Amino acid sequence: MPELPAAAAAQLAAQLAELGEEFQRSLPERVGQIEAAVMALGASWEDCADGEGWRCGESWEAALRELSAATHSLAGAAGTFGYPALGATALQMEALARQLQADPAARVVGSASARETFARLLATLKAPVGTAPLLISAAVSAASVGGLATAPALRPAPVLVVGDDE
Amino acid sequence: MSASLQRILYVEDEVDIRTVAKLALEAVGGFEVEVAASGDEALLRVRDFAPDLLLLDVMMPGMDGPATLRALRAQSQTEFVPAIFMTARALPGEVAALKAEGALGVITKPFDPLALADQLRMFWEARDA
Repeated sequence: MPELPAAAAAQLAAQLAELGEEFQRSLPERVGQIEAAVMALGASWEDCADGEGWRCGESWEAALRELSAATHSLAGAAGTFGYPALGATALQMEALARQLQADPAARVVGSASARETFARLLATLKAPVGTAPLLISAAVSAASVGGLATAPALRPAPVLVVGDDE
Repeated sequence: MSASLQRILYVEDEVDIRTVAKLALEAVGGFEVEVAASGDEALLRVRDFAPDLLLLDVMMPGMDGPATLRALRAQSQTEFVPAIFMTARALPGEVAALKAEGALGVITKPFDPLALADQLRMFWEARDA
């Protein structure tokens, strides 16, 4: 990586920090969408279990689509903004949602364990996360000492190992 | 194929990821980055923008990354432009499948914004090796 001039590095760090703050502000809404999808999925599962097959299928599929989309979005973004554990939890939820989407029999079979898993993962998502995403704060402090390329903590791929949102 | 990597077409549906990666690729890598939010938009972009490299998110609504690459490969402007995929799922079988689509490499998410330009250059420089 070519070494950035200090001014450019500081500007980049400030822009990344701003984007990180925007992401942090979006977290309640993102988690809220996931929670709503989990609730909708639970409701449609109950319909299905009651033998209301004629109406449970569509809502079940819609809830899973929403859940896949919302968790995919969070899984992709969280790690990059310094929340690797949050991203990993969202990725687990997304994997389970996609697994269910690919298996229509799961609508009734084995739903209890999937529901428990979603509830557990949702609780993990809703646990308070720390307020200092390390990737972004590291970028800011590196810039302030004159050049991103000189900060060993930034490389390689620190997002995989840092974070306080366990 | 141009010898140096300068112009990148980046296709990603998530706006925040797109913003961070574009910013980092421009500021850190010094690249010229054109973005598209979907495969369809990418097909429109290449009418006016001739990329050296395609950087494609794998999972997108509508056309996914591999479908977007196939569609771009069917156009004369981008028939031979090298591609790199980005994905949150880096299972060994999936990486191999993505490379079999003709990609130079696969970058896993979450990515480090500050290291992304280097990762692209690494794949770019290894492409003829």
